[in-house]
Amino acid sequence: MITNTGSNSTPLVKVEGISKYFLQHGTFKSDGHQIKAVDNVNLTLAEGETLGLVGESGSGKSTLGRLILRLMVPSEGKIIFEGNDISRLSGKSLLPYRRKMQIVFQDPYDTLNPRMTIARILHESLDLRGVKSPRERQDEVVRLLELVGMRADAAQRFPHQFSGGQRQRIGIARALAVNPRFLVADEPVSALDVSVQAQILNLLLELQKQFGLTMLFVAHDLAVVRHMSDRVAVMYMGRIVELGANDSVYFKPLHPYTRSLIQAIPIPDPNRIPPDLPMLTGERPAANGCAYRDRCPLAISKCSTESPEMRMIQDDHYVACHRAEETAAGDVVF
Amino acid sequence: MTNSGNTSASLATATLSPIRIISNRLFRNPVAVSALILLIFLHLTALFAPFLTPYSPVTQRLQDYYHPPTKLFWSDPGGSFSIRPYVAPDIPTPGHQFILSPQKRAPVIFFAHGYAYKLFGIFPSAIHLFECRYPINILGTDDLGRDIFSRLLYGAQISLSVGLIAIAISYTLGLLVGGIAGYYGGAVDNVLMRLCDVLMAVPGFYLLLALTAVLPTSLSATERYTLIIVILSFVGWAALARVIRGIALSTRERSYVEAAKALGVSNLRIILRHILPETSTFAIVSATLAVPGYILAEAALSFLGLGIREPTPSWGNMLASAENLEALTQYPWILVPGIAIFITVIGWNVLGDGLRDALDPKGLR
Repeated sequence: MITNTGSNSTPLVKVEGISKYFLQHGTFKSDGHQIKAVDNVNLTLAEGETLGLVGESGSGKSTLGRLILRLMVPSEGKIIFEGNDISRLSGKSLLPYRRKMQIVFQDPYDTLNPRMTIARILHESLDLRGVKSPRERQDEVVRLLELVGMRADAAQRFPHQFSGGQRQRIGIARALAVNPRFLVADEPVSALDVSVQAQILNLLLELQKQFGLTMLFVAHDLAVVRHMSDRVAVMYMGRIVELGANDSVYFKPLHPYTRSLIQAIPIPDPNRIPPDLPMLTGERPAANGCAYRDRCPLAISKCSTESPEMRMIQDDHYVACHRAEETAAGDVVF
Repeated sequence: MTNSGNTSASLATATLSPIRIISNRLFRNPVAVSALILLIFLHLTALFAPFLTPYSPVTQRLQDYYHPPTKLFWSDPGGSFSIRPYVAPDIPTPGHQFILSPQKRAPVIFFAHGYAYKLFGIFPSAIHLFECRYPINILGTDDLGRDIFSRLLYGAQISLSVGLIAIAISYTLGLLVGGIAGYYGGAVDNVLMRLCDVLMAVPGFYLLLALTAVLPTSLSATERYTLIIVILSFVGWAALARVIRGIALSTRERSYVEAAKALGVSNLRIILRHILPETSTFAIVSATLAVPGYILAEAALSFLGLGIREPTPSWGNMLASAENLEALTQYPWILVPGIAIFITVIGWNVLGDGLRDALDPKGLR
């Protein structure tokens, strides 16, 4: 088993061989076909670090975030938070960890209960922190709203009176109200206007610095992830296929999937001639071997028989590809 | 307001709560408002029945059976116009004709003393809205010579409250069971929903008949009334629970429910604060539309003699005397409770429709 230590500081979150299977029900239970949403993932998040998690829709990145937060029960594997295994805890025993791990959601129109005022939404968080007196609560609501760049008079209004960006800010305030140490940002800007995206991203960066938050930043936009993260993990069909420092993954991708993702980033230059490189083609298989092999320009016979293991190819740069060494040495041409 | 200093007047008007928006919209619908006023009026008459009625619902004047509605004279014995109506005595003849003696007419007395009662079961009184020296039956009498007007108002106490209380019980049950089943899902959901299926698989009215038929005859009127409400609620909650469960199933996938889970809010609190309010639009409308069902069910049971028993009046058992065609053609006033049921049912349905329009989320923002 490979553990990926990020930097030299102590890990806050450690994920060991975690998997989540969903049963696809047939008419009878026995027809059930297993879907591996997350398949044997190992991750380590150092205190104060931001790990970007990218992948296409359905690659399991949101599921992984929810597993770490224990919003879902993992089918296999361990989640170690502050040195304690929380993967099998439930109910009351999980409660002390709940407050330390929070989440910011993707859809700003779904993240706030439309029937509650902003003050009531924030009170729910404050109640759990034990802020009970009306005076204290009121002060806290004002402080939280100002923290996320909102005016205090937002408190008495309803979610439908705010724009998407403002709702995301309120969602962030709700998460921060319980003073978490770890934040999962589940595509927090993908539903926003580009002009608003930057504001929310900068707010998250600022708050992270201010509170020393550890963050798992989930996105499908590589440029956004690069802006936010220290390290990047690329997910494909429930597995992490490449993990490494931001620039290392971005400029020297060693997995063919990462490479095609980066090629897919549009470059705003009308004079640029698009590189004549193979783009993503083919269907996604579900069988033994490397899940990417049918779409991979580098596939060899080994890829259809043997699943590639995650291994360190360069300094803290991990790849799950049989041909990563060759790629790193420059022996393969795409 | 956390910061009233910053709050401008325009902001305050923009901050109407959803409840205010909905009630504003309901009150702009004249048909729904008329229905609401009508229902409030009906329930008030039921509430004040002892004061409004000249006779106790069980007082019999056997010689006056099937007496037609009393003729009111708008002039005194001298023949000059009077705003206070006069009532003349009459004598029944063998051919069931009533011979009036208009010269002996006596005035109706308002706020007069009559039979003693307790208003709302608490305040003792004997004051009635109107009384007269001679029998006054403004809606006629039934086969035992009882005043139909008095019985109608006392019957309303039972017929109208059955619907409301049964709704309150069955909706509490349906919302909780549906909310729990939908929120937890899995085995809990399966067990609860199969229970609903079993209940729903039995034809509702036969289940009602079977359950009421086993009630012992020795029960007091109050006990019988209570048990009938419980039985009605018991039959009614399953279908609701299924719908609520469906809404709960979709609501639990909403991000704000996940956020509450991530915060560590307890499951019961999530169900009560996040899941069930999401069903409120549906629940309010369907409850309003379901009230007439319970009123009709009680009427049907009482009509068949399995509901409220004589002499306690209910609209259903009053109608039972109208089942005979001869009585119906000769004494059409005994159909009055049927008209009352009709008006009430229409009222609830119209109000339900108005509420549905007012609660329509498409117009909410």
